[in-house]
Amino acid sequence: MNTLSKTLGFAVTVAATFAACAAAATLALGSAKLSAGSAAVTSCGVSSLSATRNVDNSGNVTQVNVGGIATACSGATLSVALVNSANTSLGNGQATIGSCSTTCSATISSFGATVSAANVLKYSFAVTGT
Amino acid sequence: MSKAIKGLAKKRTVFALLLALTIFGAVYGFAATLNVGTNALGAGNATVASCQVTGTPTGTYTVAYDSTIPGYKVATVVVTGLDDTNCNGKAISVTLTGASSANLATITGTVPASGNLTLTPGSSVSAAAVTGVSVAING
Repeated sequence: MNTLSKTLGFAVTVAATFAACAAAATLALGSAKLSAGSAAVTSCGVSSLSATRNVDNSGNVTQVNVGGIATACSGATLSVALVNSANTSLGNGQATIGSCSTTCSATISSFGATVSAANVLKYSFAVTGT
Repeated sequence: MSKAIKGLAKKRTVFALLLALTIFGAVYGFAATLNVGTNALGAGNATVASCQVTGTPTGTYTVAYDSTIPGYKVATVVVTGLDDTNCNGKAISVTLTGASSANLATITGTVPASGNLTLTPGSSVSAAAVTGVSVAING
């Protein structure tokens, strides 16, 4: 009887070892690095702007004056395109919006080309911040 | 003689029991191994680390007039604040989003060894339509 008990004990130990080995093979997991995030792209408040233009004696645009810009746009860059009836840009320029207390303004006097005022149908603008 | 036969029978019984239990243990063990190896779903935990230790990636933009809009489009997206030291060579994905978080354009690139990363959208994206930006660095 004693021999039988020892034998049974040995057998149970062997069986348990096999089971334990099988369970230990289960876990293996790693991960590469990952970074992600999102941010809102907000406007400084220039849904609409008004502009005036200066024209020389030849009828070409010499500068565009943009006013009524929100103070939140101070320090941002204003881009203006002079656009004809076919929505083609005849010339465009940029100016930095200076510091201001109530509303800001900006003047653009270089458009990369000579632009006849007669051909300008509208202005297109964009403000990019830092 | 009878005693010897009884002893032999006892030893055979013990041997049979031992053999049966050993085989049972082995089969049970193998069966568990196969289950793990063939399961389609595993489970475990691992830490997903970030290479961006210092700085905050920030999207800045340049614009250009596009007659097809018509209006200003996003010409380039310049990502500043990248952790060049730890993220150098990693894949980066920048997505410009619009109203209702719609995907306007996704641009991919590689984090440079130093400085900012300039990406150019593959399609014309109206600057006025952009309301958000998402950045992911993978690897």
